[in-house]
Amino acid sequence: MYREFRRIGRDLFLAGLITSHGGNLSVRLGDRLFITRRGAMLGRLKRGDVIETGLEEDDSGIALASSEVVVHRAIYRETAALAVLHAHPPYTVVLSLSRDAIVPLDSEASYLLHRVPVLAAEKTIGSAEVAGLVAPALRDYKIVVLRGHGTFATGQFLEEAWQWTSCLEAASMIVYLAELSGEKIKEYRRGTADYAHW
Amino acid sequence: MKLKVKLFATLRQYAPAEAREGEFALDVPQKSVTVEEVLRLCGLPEHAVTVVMVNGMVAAANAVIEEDAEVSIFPPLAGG
Amino acid sequence: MGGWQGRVLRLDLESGEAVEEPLPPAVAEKFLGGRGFGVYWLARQPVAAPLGPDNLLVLAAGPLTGTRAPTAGRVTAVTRSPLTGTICDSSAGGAFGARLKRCGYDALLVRGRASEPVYLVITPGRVEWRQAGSLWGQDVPAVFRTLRPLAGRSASILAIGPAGENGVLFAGAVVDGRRHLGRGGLGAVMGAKRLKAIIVAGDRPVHLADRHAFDFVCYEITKLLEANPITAQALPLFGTAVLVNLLNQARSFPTCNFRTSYFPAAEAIAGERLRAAFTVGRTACYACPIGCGRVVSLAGSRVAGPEYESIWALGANLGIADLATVIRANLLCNRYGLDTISTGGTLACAMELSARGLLPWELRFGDGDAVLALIPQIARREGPGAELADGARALAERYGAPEVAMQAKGLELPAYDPRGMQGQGLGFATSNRGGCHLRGNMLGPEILGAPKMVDRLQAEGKAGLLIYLQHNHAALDSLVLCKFTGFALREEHYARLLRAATGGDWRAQDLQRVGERIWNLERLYNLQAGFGPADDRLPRRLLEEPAEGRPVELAAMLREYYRFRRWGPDGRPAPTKLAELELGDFL
Repeated sequence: MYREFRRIGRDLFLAGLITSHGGNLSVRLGDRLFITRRGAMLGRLKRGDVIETGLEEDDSGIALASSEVVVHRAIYRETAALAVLHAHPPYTVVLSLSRDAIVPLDSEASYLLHRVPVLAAEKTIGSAEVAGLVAPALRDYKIVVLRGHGTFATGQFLEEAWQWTSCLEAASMIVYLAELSGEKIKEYRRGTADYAHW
Repeated sequence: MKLKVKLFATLRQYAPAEAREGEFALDVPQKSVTVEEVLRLCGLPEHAVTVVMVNGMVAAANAVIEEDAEVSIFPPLAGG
Repeated sequence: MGGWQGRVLRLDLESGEAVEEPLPPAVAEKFLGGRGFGVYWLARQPVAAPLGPDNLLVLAAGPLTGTRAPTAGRVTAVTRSPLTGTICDSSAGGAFGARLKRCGYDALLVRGRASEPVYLVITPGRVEWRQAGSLWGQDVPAVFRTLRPLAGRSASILAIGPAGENGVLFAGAVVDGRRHLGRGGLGAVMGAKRLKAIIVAGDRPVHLADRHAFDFVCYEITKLLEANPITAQALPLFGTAVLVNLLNQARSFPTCNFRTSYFPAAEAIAGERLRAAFTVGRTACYACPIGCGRVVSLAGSRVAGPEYESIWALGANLGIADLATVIRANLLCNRYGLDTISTGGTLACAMELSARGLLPWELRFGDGDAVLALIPQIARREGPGAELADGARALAERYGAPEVAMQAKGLELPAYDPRGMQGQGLGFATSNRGGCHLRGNMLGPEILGAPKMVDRLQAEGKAGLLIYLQHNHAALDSLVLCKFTGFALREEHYARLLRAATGGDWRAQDLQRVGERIWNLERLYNLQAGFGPADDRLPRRLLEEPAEGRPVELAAMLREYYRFRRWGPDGRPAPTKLAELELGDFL
């Protein structure tokens, strides 16, 4: 399990989807929650950087856990996820500033994600407000974006949550570049209008 | 170097004519080779393969294969 | 409320009474159907002797059963197992669940013991009790030949063979002549009740809360099943037997009573060989787009082909490398109504006892003729068959070598060597019905890489994934849908089906929660029946001999498992856990 944390954390950093001390990861094992330490460097995780605590409430190590633990808990309460990944992918954050949903143009992300909602909160870091927004949205989506802040993705494994995150950032970059090019886009997919309903 | 390759289930259609039960010897010009390269040398379509085992252990696409290894290649499978 | 019919039927074989009762909506929402319903009703009454009249036999459908949702014809049976003494559920394909539902019932609750052998004909609002007469004693094909013409077109039949009548502790029941409620001795429970068969015939509609949405979700789900390489190609083309070579290559294919985990002759009994040399067709259950069932040609006739577990149990685990012999042995088990896994596991145990000179009669590994001769004797409890009819554990204890029985809680282990799949080993040890892979199948993550591959030889962290899968499977067994759909679908999809069918706001985590509730209630039942942490164990061989993998690190995984579940060292769920799951009434 720690190996998985290390592997994904390093990939996230090297891919440029988090800053040196940004982002956080967690997995759920039964009624226990394992989450990265507050201020840990995800690109260089050590064994002590993963903190165990209760799924429902703080029973150990809580002062050390990531400040986003409230949001992670809420997600596990509302979804069947076994892993949660929070990152700050730049292109996705850029797009989130100007729209309420990111609708991919490329076929991979269209197939995997359909449509990704952008949520807006006043206090964007580790607040109950964020938890109340993000967790219910993740009942219907694998990944959601918090405006100006970053992504929250779920999966059965960290690797899955990482897949959605990486896929969304690539899609955001494509959307950004396509719009920047100013060329007219020819629609090549069918049923994109229905993405909102599935 | 030489490797022993075994193809299973739907992949057997890609085995050379002389193969028995999907098993054949593969001659590799280099001294070492990755799982990915073996798949290409066998002419297997990229999406047809899910599990590759080298001497019984699951191997990743970039894993390096040593001389005389037994490489078992499976399509998506299920059951039970 | 759509989905459920809202009524259950209580049958008392002693008094001959049939009473309709409403299904309380709270029970429907907390336990869903199928396995959940069975556990609920069993846990509501005192633990009874498995073969006594007070043992309850529940046959239950789920909220999706009888609709056009993929695989929604199945039925789940729940009772206390005579083989293990635990609570035990078993699920079978065919159309029994669908027809039960279309008679207007969500479940049948059967207790008592008939004074003479009977069979029942259930139609909407009516139960006919018929004397079994000469049906009693007939084998499975004969019973279906007799009953099918009586039953009519919109009917499904569940029946036992001679093994069930004779109280073989691993006798199963057969649905529609070819699908099996295999594990745990349900057939023996029916036999003890002198209940030969049940026919359900009905055409009542199953109401759906939002038909339009339901049709759309079914359409989307069918697309996913048809696009997934496992459900669209591997299973239809090869059946489950395609796993033989895979598990063998992974050195996780138990051989000769788990003495080794690699069978050199596997190719001779593999799915590829079954397809090339024997398969002439396939069969599918009610509303199933997958169709994993095999039809094979043997000596000129078309017969049912064996699936993966049976090929292993009657082949590799007995050292038999002749596929025709395996097909014949499988047919014999089907004919007499025997569970193939337990039959094979018990025979393998006898072979090892014989090899060690502990058995007063001889039975060699690889002796196919002897196996073919013994299976009918087991079903009739004749000669050496009488010693085998109580399962591997009883046999090995009788001859003073209990460690030779490859079982957990008395249930013979299936076709995965946990020394090559550590998580599967934890699953066998913690299964509420004993050694079984269908409680939380780690095959996906440990071997198939579905949805992602984990290191199969590692023990750490496996408990968390297993717990999730145990809840997932308990929910599927309660819906009641086939677990094979899970290769292409996620809980989100099942939740969508439930939302459309019932009108309730079902979400993925609600299914996890129902699964967890069922798992903990089963645990409470087993604790009540005398089981404890000492029973969450595996045979010594798997903990000490590495075979081609590593000894199972069971103690470490169990500690994690209890902790992650919030169970105490006594194996009991914490009171706060029970309160959280609304199981306070069952303490």
